Amino acid sequence: MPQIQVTPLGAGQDVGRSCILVSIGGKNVMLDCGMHMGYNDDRRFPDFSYITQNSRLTEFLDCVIISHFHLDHCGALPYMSEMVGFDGPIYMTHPTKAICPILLEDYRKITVDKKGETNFFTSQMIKDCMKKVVAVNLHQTVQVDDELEIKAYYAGHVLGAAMFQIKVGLESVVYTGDYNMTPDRHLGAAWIDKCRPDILISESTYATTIRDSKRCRERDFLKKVHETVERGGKVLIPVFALGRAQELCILLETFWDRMNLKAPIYFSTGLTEKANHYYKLFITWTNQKIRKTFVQRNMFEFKHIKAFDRSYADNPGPMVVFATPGMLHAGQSLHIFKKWAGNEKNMVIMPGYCVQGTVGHKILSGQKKLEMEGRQTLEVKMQVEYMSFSAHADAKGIMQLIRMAEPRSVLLVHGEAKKMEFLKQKIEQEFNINCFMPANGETATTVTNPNVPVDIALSLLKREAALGPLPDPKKPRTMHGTLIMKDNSLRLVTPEQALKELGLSEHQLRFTCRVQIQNPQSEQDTLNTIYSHLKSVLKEHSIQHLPDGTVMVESILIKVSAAAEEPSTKTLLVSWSYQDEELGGYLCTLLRKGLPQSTG
Amino acid sequence: MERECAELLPSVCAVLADSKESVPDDTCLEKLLDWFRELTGKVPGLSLLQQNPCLTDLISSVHKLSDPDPSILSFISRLAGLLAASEDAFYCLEQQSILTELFGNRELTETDATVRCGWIHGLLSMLQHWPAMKFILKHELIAVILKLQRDSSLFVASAANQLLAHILTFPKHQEASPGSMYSEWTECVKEIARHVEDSLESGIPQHVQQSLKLVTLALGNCQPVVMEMLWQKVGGPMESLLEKDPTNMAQRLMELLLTASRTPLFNSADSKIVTVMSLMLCSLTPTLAIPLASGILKLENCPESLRIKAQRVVLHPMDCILNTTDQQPQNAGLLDEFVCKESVIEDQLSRKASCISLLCLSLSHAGELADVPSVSVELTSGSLFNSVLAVLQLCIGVAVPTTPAYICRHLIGCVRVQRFAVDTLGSLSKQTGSTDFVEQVFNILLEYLINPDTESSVLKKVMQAILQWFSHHSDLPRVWHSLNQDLFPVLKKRLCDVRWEVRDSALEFLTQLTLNFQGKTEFPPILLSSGILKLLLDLLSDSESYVRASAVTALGQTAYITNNNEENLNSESGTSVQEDVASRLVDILAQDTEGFPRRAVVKVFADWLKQRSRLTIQNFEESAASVLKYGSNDLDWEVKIHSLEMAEVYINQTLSKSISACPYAVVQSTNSKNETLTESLQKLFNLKIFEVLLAGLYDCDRPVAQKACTILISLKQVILEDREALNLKGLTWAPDILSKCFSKHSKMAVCGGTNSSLQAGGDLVEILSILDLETMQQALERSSDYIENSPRSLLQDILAATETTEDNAIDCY
Repeated sequence: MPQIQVTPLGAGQDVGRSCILVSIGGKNVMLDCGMHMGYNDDRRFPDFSYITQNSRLTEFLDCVIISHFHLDHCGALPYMSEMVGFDGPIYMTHPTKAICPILLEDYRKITVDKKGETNFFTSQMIKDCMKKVVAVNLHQTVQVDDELEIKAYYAGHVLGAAMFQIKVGLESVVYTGDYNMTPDRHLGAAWIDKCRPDILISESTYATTIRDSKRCRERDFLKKVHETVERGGKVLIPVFALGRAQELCILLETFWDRMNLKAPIYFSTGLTEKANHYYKLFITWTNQKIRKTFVQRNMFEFKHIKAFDRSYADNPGPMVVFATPGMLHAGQSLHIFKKWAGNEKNMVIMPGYCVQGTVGHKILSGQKKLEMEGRQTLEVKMQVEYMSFSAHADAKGIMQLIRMAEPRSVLLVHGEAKKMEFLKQKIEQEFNINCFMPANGETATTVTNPNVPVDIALSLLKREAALGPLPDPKKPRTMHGTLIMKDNSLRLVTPEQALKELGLSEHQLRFTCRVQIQNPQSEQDTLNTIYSHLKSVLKEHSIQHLPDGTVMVESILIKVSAAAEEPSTKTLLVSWSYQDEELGGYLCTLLRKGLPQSTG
Repeated sequence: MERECAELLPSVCAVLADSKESVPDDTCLEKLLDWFRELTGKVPGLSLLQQNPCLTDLISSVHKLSDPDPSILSFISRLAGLLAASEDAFYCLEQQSILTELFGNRELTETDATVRCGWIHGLLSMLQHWPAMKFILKHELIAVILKLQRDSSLFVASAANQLLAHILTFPKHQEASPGSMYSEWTECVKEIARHVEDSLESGIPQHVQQSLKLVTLALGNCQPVVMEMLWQKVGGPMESLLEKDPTNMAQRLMELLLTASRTPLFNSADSKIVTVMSLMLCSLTPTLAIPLASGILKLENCPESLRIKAQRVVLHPMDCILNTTDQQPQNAGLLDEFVCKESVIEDQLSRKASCISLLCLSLSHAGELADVPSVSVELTSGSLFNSVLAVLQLCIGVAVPTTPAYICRHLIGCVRVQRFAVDTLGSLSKQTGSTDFVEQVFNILLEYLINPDTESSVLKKVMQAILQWFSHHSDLPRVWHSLNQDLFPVLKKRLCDVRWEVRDSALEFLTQLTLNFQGKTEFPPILLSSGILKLLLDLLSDSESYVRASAVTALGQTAYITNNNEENLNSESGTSVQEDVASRLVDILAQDTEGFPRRAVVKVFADWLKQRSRLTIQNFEESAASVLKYGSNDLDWEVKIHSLEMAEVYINQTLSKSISACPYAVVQSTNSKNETLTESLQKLFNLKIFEVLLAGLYDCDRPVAQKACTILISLKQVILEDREALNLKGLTWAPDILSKCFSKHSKMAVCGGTNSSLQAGGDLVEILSILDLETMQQALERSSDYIENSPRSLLQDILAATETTEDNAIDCY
């Protein structure tokens, strides 16, 4: 039986990094190729030796698909393509292709600066890797090869994020990547058509959560920022260059406008322009409101948000600064944090998750004294707030997507085992379909039952349609014809055409049956009796008495013979062709019952 | 172990042992194990246990919990294994029955995959001594491990195989084993070998695959007696596997056979390795046989007959292609004999998918063949060149197959085959006999360059192949003619391609070309008359930053040519191009919003500076000073580093002039030397190099500070050597800079209290003496802007995380 196999090398019952291998219809596809930012050695990358021992990834994998630009989904790509070696095609959307190298480069710069970092890719490798990327449009069916095709759907989450349908013949898988089922200030909600995949591989970050209202979170955020600024404090918001940062910028910009606030808001130098550039370039990927108002005003050209210079950090008075990177582990955000940490009037708002070993992680766990490597101890007096603004579908959203796509089974990734277990049960109950949640290294297998498409000759279709009632899509009807398998395709044609095409001659297959009856009449009379009997019973059939001494019902021939030694025992020889098998069988049964008494 | 860590460890252990607490980050436990691994390498396991009784308590308490967290359970198995790797610690834990309770507990191997994995890794770490082996045998754990070898999790099964292989290869010498252990171990090996045999005969693909993997893992390192035992068990089933299920098992069998071929088994008459390999070459489908054949060709001491067979297998598809396109049937083919039936290959080639994968395989392995010395000699006949060329021609539609036509349909526009074929063609450039094909190779590669449909990744490979062929055949006049007449006109088009990938690859190609051939007299005039330089200047304002950076690098490289060949140029235009380049590059550094072009500019200037004798760029000093100024104030720390490297070149050049002013003088005039050094320093001062260095010293990015510090130390050595003779009274700039610098960084401990004395001084020597550069360098080496990444910090994080209640662990950005 054909089957689809899914093996996560990452994101199987965890949220560390995504890397999922799918084998479908003899093709091998890698979905995402993420990096785990919690390690500083090879453990940050997926272990590709589980895929192939000899490092010949190009021969094994038909393609790699990247869902969006976050590093836990694309960070291992240069390692895989340039260091392990993969020359095949890599697919991602246009915005992802544009933004991905910026984030990879940003992370490389931070990483190579760190002590004890080993085996990391270079700028040149990032560039060479990006040259292998094929950018795709939404809803564009991309033919990877003659058999494998992929199609991207809008996923929300971040600019350019996409869900991908992978299809080989009639088997298909949908991989959601990270997605969001509710529109936010700058992006729309995820959408997919009723594509009924064999497996829907869905993220499940918020598998058990019905998230509190986004409006509440936003209000809370604005309140905290406002209070701090009002008391003359400074607010630091560490962010990753592109993504949630833009959402928060729009939020603050609108609030500043409404409240007529004067405190300056800054964004890391260089990044504002870059972000603006990409949002302008990919305006079609944002939500409807932004697209509509774009003609009058570009939402990403902020009135209140200015480019930040390092020297501004020492300026007196309140201010709000968005600085990178998001986990406070290096660069500008850490630099500002160190300057401001000592003042209890200030505040740092962490809008996302931080891995162990970063300042972000430490302050979120409430540590107040931070020891910097070989230098001073930093006392944290400023307020620390955590506010999640990451855009993932919650339990309700995941169920909604399943309803949209109508998959035959669901496979959960990118979530915690316990929470997945809960959602799995819910899915199985509500939709009555299988739900898998393989751990990393475990393979989930689904047997598929593919339909085989068959072409049918128009003449045959017309002929068959003429025979019975008019075609009705709600009432399937059996068609008869000859199935020809030729040149890798299947066709249903009339038997005559099949014979002609295949250069064959027709053989007749006839069934014969002997029925013995007791009848004292002569052979000729017996035959006459049979003729008139059948005439009266089978009124709708053509019955002939042939001159050669046989009775013919449709294609069925009936002959009568009598044994010399026992003339009253008559043997009826019934012979029929395959087409009249049913009638032949019926006749035999009928004749076995004997003939009515002769009236003549 | 540090005292503070030892103090924190009991609380951490208590947290880990508490089932109500959850570990904050999935990497924490891994990092803890890393730390213990490091510790056990330095301190005996027993003293670790004795000094930290909390470890023993942790291990013994966790597995007694009713519902322990799988990740913690896995962690303690691995931790126990690490500690028990030393014999003393093993006995200590075993005396308390901890190891028996932990590893003897079969329930553990029936739960979560993480726990199973931890259990195996624990045993693997522990198995460093005979008592551990005895433990495994005594508790009959082999049966459990063998069961786990068939686990549904890839990770568990693979770890179990590693452990079994470790057991099989355990004793290095028979006499080293205590008492009856060796014979007990031998029995265990027999059990494993029986399991292997059973698996291979089971007909269950997963079991067969795992056992083949195990034997492959073990064969390379085990004793001859084990090797023979294993091979005996493998030999029989292997042949039947080949008959029954060659497709699924081919890869594993191939790996096994190739590993076995590197052991003494290869030469043993009973092993039948050569026979089986030979059989496989004939019976496997071509796509499976080619990788095996390629492996065989790399074997040392491979019998000639097998080698020839393998070569035929690899090249057979290429031979078919050659025959398909050959207009003159009398021409010799690639092969005189075949291993598998021609109809089999033809059948594979008749279907598109199999045709493409077969050709890709054949091409990639044929390319590798060219590098194998024993093979390459036989490939000089030219047929391989012809066949690769034929593939490339078919792919682009410039050759029409005589028969059958479907090959052309399959290959035309097939990017996958194109990539492999171009790579192979590139690797053939160094083959003897390649000279005869230069013309044809250039023609087809040019076709690809010209073809507007050529995919960007193929174009990149085409340019790389051209470079390889140019490098190996630059002595042929034809090459230069082709460069001038054909290549540069196409390259100009490609430099204007709509795809940034193509523009960038073309620029990279041009840089490499210039680098490789700038010494050849033929190259410069061709480049200069091509009009490409003008295009390069245009590309400095490309919309894509990668392209701008590559254009900067290319212009940097071509400058040596435009400079050296002024006589070949209209001198006026030549100079203006150079001046324009220098000022344009400075503009890029000052204005470009992206780091790549700015980085490239500083690199180019540093390179120009190193080789300034080869350049006559007007106002170079002025431009270089601007580069130094902008570069050292850049936002990108890598630009700053390159700027410091540039400053270093300046310093070395300037000081070397003064120090080696007259190396051959018998008695050096002290006075003239002094003046020269002072002058040199004045020159550096004018260039504001000291300002750059001192600012760099206090840069918030550690690599910048480190680089500045290193340069200052070497500068100090040079200056202090001549301290007595140096007259720096006139240089009053230094304290100003330093005081500015120090007031900015007044809180920095290293400068504390030096301000007043500096202002009072006026001597560079004094400044360099005051700055304790050596201590700073040491501090910078150990420190960074990052938070302490020590075990203590890790322990603190684990403790701190348990105190926060907010559920934010699963969120991601």
